Amino acid sequence: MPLTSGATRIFPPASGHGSRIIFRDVTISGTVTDESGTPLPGVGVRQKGGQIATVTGADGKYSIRLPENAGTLVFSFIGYASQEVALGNGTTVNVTMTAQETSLNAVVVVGYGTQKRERVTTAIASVKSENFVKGAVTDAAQLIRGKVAGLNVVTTDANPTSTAQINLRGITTILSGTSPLVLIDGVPGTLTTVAPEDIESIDVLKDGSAAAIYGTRGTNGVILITTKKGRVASAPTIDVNTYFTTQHITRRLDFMDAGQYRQLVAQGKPGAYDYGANTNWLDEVTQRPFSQVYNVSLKGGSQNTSYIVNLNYRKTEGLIRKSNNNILYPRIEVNHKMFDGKLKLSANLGGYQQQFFSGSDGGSYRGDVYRNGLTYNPTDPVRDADGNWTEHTDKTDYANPVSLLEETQGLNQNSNLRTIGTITYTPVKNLDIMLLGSRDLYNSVRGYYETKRHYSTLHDGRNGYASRGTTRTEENLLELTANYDKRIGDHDFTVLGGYSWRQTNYQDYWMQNWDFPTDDFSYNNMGAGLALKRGEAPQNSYQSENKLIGFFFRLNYSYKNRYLLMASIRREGSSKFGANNKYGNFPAISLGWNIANEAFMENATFVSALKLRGGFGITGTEPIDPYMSLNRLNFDTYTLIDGQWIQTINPSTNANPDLRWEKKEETNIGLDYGFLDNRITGSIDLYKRTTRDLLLDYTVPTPPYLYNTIRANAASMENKGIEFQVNVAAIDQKDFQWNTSLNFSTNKNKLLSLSDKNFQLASGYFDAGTTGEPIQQAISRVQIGQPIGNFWGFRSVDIDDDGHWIIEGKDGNPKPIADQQADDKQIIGNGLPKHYLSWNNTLNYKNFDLNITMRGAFGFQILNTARMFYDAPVMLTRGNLLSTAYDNVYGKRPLADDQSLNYVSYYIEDGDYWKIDNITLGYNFTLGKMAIKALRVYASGSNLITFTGYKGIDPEVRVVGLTPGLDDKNRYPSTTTYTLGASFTF
Amino acid sequence: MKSIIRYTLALLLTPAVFSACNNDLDETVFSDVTEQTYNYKDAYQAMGIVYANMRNLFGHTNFYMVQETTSDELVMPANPSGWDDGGIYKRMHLHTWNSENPQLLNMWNAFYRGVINANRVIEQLETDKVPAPSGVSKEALVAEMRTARAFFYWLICDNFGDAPLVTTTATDLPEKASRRQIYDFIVTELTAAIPSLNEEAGRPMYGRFNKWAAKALLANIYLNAQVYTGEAKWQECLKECNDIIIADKYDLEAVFRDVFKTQNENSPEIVFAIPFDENQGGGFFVDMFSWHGALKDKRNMQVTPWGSGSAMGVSQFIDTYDPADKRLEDTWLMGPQFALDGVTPLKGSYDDAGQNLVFTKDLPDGLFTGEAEGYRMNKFDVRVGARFDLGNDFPFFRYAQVLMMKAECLLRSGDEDGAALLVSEVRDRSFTDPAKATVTGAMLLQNSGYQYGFVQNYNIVDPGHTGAVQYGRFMDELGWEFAWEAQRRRDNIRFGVFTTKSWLSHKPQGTDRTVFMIPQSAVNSNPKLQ
Repeated sequence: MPLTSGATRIFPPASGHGSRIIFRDVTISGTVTDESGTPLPGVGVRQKGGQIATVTGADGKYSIRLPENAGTLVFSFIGYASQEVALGNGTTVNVTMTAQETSLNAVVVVGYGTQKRERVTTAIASVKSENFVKGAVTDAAQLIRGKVAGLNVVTTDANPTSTAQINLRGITTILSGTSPLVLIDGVPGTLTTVAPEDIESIDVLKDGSAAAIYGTRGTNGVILITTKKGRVASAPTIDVNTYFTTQHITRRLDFMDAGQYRQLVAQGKPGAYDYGANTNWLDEVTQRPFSQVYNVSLKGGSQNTSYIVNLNYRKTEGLIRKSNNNILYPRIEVNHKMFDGKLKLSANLGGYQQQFFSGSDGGSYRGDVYRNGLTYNPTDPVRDADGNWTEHTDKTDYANPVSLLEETQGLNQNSNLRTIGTITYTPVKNLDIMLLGSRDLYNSVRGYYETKRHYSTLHDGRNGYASRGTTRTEENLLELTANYDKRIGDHDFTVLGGYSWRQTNYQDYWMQNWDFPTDDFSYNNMGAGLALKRGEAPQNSYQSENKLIGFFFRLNYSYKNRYLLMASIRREGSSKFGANNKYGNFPAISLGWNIANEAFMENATFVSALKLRGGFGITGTEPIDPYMSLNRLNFDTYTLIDGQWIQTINPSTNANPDLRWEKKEETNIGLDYGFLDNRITGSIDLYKRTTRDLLLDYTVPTPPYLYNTIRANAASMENKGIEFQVNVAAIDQKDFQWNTSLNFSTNKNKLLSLSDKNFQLASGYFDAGTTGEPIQQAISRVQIGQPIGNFWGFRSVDIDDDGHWIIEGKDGNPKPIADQQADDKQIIGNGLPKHYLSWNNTLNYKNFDLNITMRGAFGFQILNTARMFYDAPVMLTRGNLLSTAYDNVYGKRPLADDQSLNYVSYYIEDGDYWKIDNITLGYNFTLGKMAIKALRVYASGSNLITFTGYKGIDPEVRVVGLTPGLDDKNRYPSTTTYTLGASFTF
Repeated sequence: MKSIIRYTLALLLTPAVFSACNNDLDETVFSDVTEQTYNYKDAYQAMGIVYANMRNLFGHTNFYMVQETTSDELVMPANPSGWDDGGIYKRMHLHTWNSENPQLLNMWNAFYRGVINANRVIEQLETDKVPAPSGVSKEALVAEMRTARAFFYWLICDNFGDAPLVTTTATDLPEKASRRQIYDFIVTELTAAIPSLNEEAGRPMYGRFNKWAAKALLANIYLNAQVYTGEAKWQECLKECNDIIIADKYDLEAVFRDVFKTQNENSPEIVFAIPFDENQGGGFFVDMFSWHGALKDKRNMQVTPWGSGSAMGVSQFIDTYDPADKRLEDTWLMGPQFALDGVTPLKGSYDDAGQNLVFTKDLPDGLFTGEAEGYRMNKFDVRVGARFDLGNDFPFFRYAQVLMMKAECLLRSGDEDGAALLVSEVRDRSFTDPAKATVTGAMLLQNSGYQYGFVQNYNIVDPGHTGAVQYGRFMDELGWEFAWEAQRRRDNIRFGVFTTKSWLSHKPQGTDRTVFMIPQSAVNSNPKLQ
């Protein structure tokens, strides 16, 4: 490990100054290791306040001669926190260095290993736990929201069971979803696989050259989550972390109250009807939720063994009544080394036990509860005089929302057990052979019941409806890797080779039944219903399996720590691919130049770090569904033969034996900088990613094809962008520190093509999403040469004397909406933000700390579907309206009572927003010699203030998929959250 | 010691990795079977999908409502409960549909799905991949499938005109064939297939093409031959009708409504049925898009019809009925509506919220109506306790139609009195007074009684084209007998009304409206269809 020449000058070898020593000398020796127990060479060891110093050797060992009673030794190493050790009687001092989080020289987690920040040549962002977003977070992504440029984490609702949406460097895939690959301690999982409080660090592999080592799964980036670990040779510590939260809706849409509604009844408006009561339906379906989170961890270690036991319990309530989420996360990890550290063993048992109210069949939330809470007639009582729910079942899409909640019983119980073991064998120095085996087991049991008083009986004659389902997935992973470090003079090599085998098995059973003799069974006696017996109700079971096999190789090379090279390749095959394309190759190369280490920079002392890097890498995306390449048959369709209904044989899909992975090529150029002794650090990245062979359900002609879609790889798309990050230690006084950081990213997306030699889309576009009944129009157009997310509809320009829309015709002239033709539609907005900006501040004053996170998205539009449906008088016949529904449109007159709903640009709004997202104020108590070693209390607010012109609940709407910017009228509302918390260390 | 550890570990690791991991990437299928491995045993299972495909034609955005709502009989206007859906129904009435109207693509896909499945099954039968059951000849089954394929090609020829003519399982992109070529193909195929077909009527062949169903199909094609090719085939049509009548396998139901009841399978009147079943053969739910949601209580339905319903009679069409004609009430739901008990009035819930639901005949126009305006479907019985899918079989060809086809051929060949006898025979069951049921040849030569004209605010404001419709009275007869049976568009075209007359909000939009353009997405994916 090279030590910079400057450092050598500061800490000359002790022997050179022996003549100065006048006291009796003692020799102190020991080994310096990092947190994982790996010896650290080149660590400066210095007498505090003195001149005597040395450095550790290649094996991390040092030996220093000091005068007796020399006091204190200081260990320092770039990228690590300095440590001071008071010398006692012993002559052996072993030290474990702790990595420092903000420094450029910290260790970052890369695929299949770690790397010094200084050596990294790709775009990797690393966030340590100290810098996580404070306050109430429900998943790993929310911990790093606003902390990583280019990684956009959006929480579109406050459903306690939903997780954040992630968009990394734009939308690069059409079908396969845009979630990054999430690995927890090297094993695939999800953002909720571990409790957020149990996470030590999160590293994000942003560019293709970093992610290519993960082959077919790397396209959307890779999020590497490292859990907290015990440390060898440390006393047992207990950490307790607990917080309580409550929430309120971010903004209430201004629907008419009973008084306003009665004015419409008085005016004889079509559809208005006074039932005599005053009901605030939104209040009836919402609550003031109270949630609790407890995290207890015990960690410690002996000389060779370290352990951590973490227990996390979260009891969460949602804004909508009955919605909740209760999870228990247990985790135990033990690390042990033996045979002089030649063999290291690690065992990690974790997972979760979750249960929550199932408000819809199989899911957590029934979308129309909130929406009916807005639109149910405010003059209707919740119950009629006989105590029955008031219902008007012949009205379309209209159900008493309180009844939807109260007449539903449902429980989803999920459990996940992750068993991970690794054996690392070091036969010769610097060669680590590691075998990782894991089994990730997920089980879900679901029960759901709608009583005989539920809408389903009143509207659909169910007479009690029950459903049960269960799912089991098992994912087995086996990875064998070998890593070899070698230093020859100024040349440093690290070579990695590996093999990865993953098999996933999925099984699912479900059944429905209805027409029950009594509600008393709920979902617990499926056989008691009659519909299954009559052959009306469905039941189903399914099993599938898929396999992913990869071989990979990586070389890292560094010359004098100035010139850096990384080259990698993964050859990977998936069973999901067609017979003609089972395997693909995913190479990457990247280069770096540590300019700051050059001799000519020696005098530029204000520059503490400067590194130019560039990389190119190819990653893939595998199809979601297995079996798409096979000619499958089903027996689902019946026909009448000789008086009997018999099963027919029916091809399931158009099979595509040429199905293969999506291929993304990405070029990334970046600059990492540090000035003024790293008081100012940051990076700038430019990228261009081109995705080819995009999977799409392609329209193929019928005839000759039976169905007119086939899953195929034919489209291509481009994303270009810039990411900029700067961190400034603005004030660094003893009692007062202010760290501030700014992240900015911009992205430009363009669809390049929708055709290849086999599949053409002559039109150059397809439409996506639907407004739903009664508008029944597609929402977005995906078109060559255009970005994803274009809203495609009629441009409203005026309103005529009768209150009907006037739209812009294809010739640019105004025309009545009644004369609309499909080709009058045009691009009326785009829902994908062009720019994201976040600004994080951490202030420490004595024992107080204050975190303020602000963030915003700019350059996009939102389709406000709540307004599109309920800001129009015609919908009065179907329920309550926004109080603005009879306001003048275009300053002229209100819409006519018979103006049918239409998808027009009037309802497309600018979505730009700036949020004061999180403010957390904490206080650390100064404790003497007490049982409690540390105590911190804090108060926090999330999603506090939003500056926006948008009229909906919250402009933070979906950023993934083909209809970004769609604000669903059936959404689970977003909330503002307040948290009080405390953490103790024993 | 060291080397022992090393070897032990090597022994432990290497085989564990490479033997435990099966590197085979072939897919293991659990819950599906694949074409490559499946062993066909039952020919009817293979053939059945072609018949099952016919059920796809009856949704509200498919063949059924296209045939009805482009004609002068039905309309699907928007109303306060919805039913605008981007104007897709309105454009059918106005004849301003475009290549992106979903109904066109839905029809196209449904027709060709039948063709493609038939092509595959014919090849499977011919190559013995699908074996014929004992006692049945391969030729008979192949002939049956060729007839079913001809059925779909007839609908293609009738609705789209020029279109691809695909007869094999090859996946090359096809070119368009002319309407004439498709017509010739259908006639040749049916002529070749008919001799091999089963002559049995009744349960074993119910819902399948026997010889008589095939002849009814061929008769329909000849009946419209002048539209398809410019060349009339009245005598050929007459011969096919006579063959069916002489075979004496079918008869008129004594009671008109019995043809359309829930348990109408094996009705002696039905020559070719598309069978439906509440559980296993879904796809027929005309009540869901014609009926008002409140009518759930009229029949204690298990489902609630959509909104206030939409598919309704054009008031000018209703006006043509003789009030003594029982088919008026047998076909149309009108007046005040009650729950199943017959006394509890049903209520409106949109623009007539809280008021008694009374269906009125007159429509302000064909674009936007009140929730209770327009006569609704009453022809197909909705059983008490009906579910979403109705079990009534759809009588695609029925004996009354064979008689009426014969009558039309006679009428057009100068034998109006012979035609009148047949028309009177069909009318007989629908009038209490036999004298009222009888029509004369002279009456059949009269103009239509339909008051054509463009309607605004309940009144005809522009009569439009006022010329007499030749054999117009006969067309009226077809309307009264076959309303809601997916025939009106064809009849309007054959009698020259479709692109000349105005009704409700419809005005003529040009003669090219007699066929639909090929749907845009089909053209997009196969530029040869441009």
